[in-house]
Amino acid sequence: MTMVDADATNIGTRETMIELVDVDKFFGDFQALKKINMMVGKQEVVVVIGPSGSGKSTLIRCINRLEKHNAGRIVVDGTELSDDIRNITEIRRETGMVFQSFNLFPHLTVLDNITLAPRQVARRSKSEAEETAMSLLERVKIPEQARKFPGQLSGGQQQRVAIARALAMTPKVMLFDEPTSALDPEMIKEVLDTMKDLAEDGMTMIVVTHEMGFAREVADRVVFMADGEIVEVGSPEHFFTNPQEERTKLFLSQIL
Amino acid sequence: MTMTEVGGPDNPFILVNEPEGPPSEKLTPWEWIRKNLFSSWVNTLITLIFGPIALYLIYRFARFVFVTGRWDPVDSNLELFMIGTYPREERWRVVSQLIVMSAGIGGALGTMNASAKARRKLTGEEFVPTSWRTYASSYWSVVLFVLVLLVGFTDTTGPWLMVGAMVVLGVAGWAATTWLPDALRPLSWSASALLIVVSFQLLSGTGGWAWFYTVLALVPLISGVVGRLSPSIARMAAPATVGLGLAIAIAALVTSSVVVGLVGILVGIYGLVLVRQGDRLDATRVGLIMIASGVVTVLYRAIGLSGIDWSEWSGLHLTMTVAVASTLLAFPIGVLLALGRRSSLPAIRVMSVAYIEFFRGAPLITFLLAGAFFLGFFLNTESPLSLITRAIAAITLFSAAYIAEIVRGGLQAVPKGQVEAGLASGLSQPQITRFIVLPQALRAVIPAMVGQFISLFKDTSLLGIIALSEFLDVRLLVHAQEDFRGFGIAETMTFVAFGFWAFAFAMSRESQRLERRLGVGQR
Repeated sequence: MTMVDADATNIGTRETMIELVDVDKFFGDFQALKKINMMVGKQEVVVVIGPSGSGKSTLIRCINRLEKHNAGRIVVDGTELSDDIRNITEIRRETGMVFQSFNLFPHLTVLDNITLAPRQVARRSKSEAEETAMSLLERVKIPEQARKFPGQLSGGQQQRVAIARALAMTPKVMLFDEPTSALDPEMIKEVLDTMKDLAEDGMTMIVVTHEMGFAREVADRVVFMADGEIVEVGSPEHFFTNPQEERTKLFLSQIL
Repeated sequence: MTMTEVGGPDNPFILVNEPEGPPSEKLTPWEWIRKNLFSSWVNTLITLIFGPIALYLIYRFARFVFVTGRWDPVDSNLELFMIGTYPREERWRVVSQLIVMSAGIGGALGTMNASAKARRKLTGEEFVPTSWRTYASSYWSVVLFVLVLLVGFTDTTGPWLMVGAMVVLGVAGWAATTWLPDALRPLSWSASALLIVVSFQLLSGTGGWAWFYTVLALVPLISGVVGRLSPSIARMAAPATVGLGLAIAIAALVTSSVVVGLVGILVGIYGLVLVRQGDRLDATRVGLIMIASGVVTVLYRAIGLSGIDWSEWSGLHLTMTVAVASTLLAFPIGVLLALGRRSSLPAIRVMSVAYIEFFRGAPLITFLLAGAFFLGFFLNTESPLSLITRAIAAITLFSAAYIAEIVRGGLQAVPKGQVEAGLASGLSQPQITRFIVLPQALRAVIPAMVGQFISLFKDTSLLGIIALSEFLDVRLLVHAQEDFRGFGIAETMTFVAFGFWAFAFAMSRESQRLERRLGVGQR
């Protein structure tokens, strides 16, 4: 039995990768994030769960500035997110993101989807970028689809391409925004397996998901959010067997 | 379901195979009539009332065309309709332009076909070449128009020979580029583009900016060749070619044109920056393009083919030239305006909106008149531009505003997630626009865009108002002739309408085909 660590900033002996201090986010009058304090250690896998509208997605979208936080500090690998476009670009290069709806570029082949950023942002040569892309496709186990267009692939394959695309810039952190929510049940496993491999290779990951099996098996810590606040944090064993907060118990009873 | 791509010199259009329609039912004529004309009592009533009216109108029209129509005004003035007042002793230029251009267009189509085929091979799908039937269903109206000209209104063999040569060379260009090995694709592109450019230079001569278009046509070839250079050669070639290019630019500055020289030096400096960044291939490309500019300029001076002044162009030839030039120019301007309208910089946004609203706010005819007559008053100077140039400018600026609005619709249709995916991978906003948003937006607006181009094509008939004898206005010349004064007016009008219809209809059919092939609406 692990200790209850209700403090989301407790990363034990790990080095810090991501640090959020008193982060607020408003959409008009609606406060989506309320004084969020959280730390993610290097090579740590943090799974964020919670009811819809609780601010999970907003949280990770603030980390790479797809949403701009209104107050507080966000530091990724020593770089603080500011309005300076260079800082933003720096952080985006170090974080890969995978979306619920894949967001692959439908007019480009799988290979071109993956090599676009390495070629245009990192200025790698075409052959070099394609070599890396092919090895990433091997890693997500669909090298034979390299020349197809996203529309020709199944949902699971598309999401694996999206993971390969995010990995192409050799990020230090991977952000997953409900990566399996738009998939048919039989395709969820292939995507989760890919993510599991990634975690085993030591990638730092923040995963917003409803897949409790994944959380239990892969997460180092589980963060439960509701109404823009972090309600409870803990190791998976603690979290699923012995939740402390009423709100957490209610949520778990509804979904398990 | 197949996705497609627009962009890159090697693959301007990656096209899906033509989707097959549902198998059509085979009906006997009797069944067809029952099913379509007498299926209910309402239908029967409508058929009984409108059937005879339709038949009567068709009968009257056919009678007019084949029996009562007096086609002598067209028959004896066919050349006038085609090339207007163009000097007769310079006719060979138009004839050779059409023939050379056919070869170029054939080559471009063949190259497109071949690159689609090569791409298919990579994706492992079956490639179904576009069949003659598909081309026929797109272009039958133009073929019909040409046949009417040849069979109905031609007595000599010259036109037959010309059209024959066009067909033969067009097919030859198509076949050559279709069967050329993949490695020579850049050569096919450049050769086809060069033929089209040269075909215009047969009329306009090799002076002025002719060298520029020629170099533009050579870009795919230069780029393709450089892409194959080994790293060690590129390391030496980059500084050498850029250096030589700079020398040529300085020579141009001293000997001929200050503007060209200065622009050349700026391009050379960009090349040097590329060399310093270690981008040797692109640096070599820039250098070679500059060298090609110098070589072509000198070569064209040596050839010294003098052109025919714009002001001599008229007839259908003028109509087509103005339509094509305005279309090609209005498209990029319209795209830039659409992007400007969404810019985050207020100055650019306001200027774009002001431009668009200004040009959409008044009829084209006012801009034509302004371009032709008032500009001199405003600027208090003799306009250095020819009347035709000013007409093209007016139509271009006018159409660009409409194209901007069409493209804006396409830009708005691209899902927000596409931009977010680009941002998340570190791409800058301009890169996202260029590589992600624009290709998808343009594909989505093809039908509306072609509609605008058809409208532009028909709008060229307004050129008559500023005393340019385009296809429609040639009628006035015909009816000014002693023999045809006040005679055969309906016939010449019908003939001109038929001509416009033949091309506009083909454009419309081609856009429908493109729409299907690009998979618009089957995302």
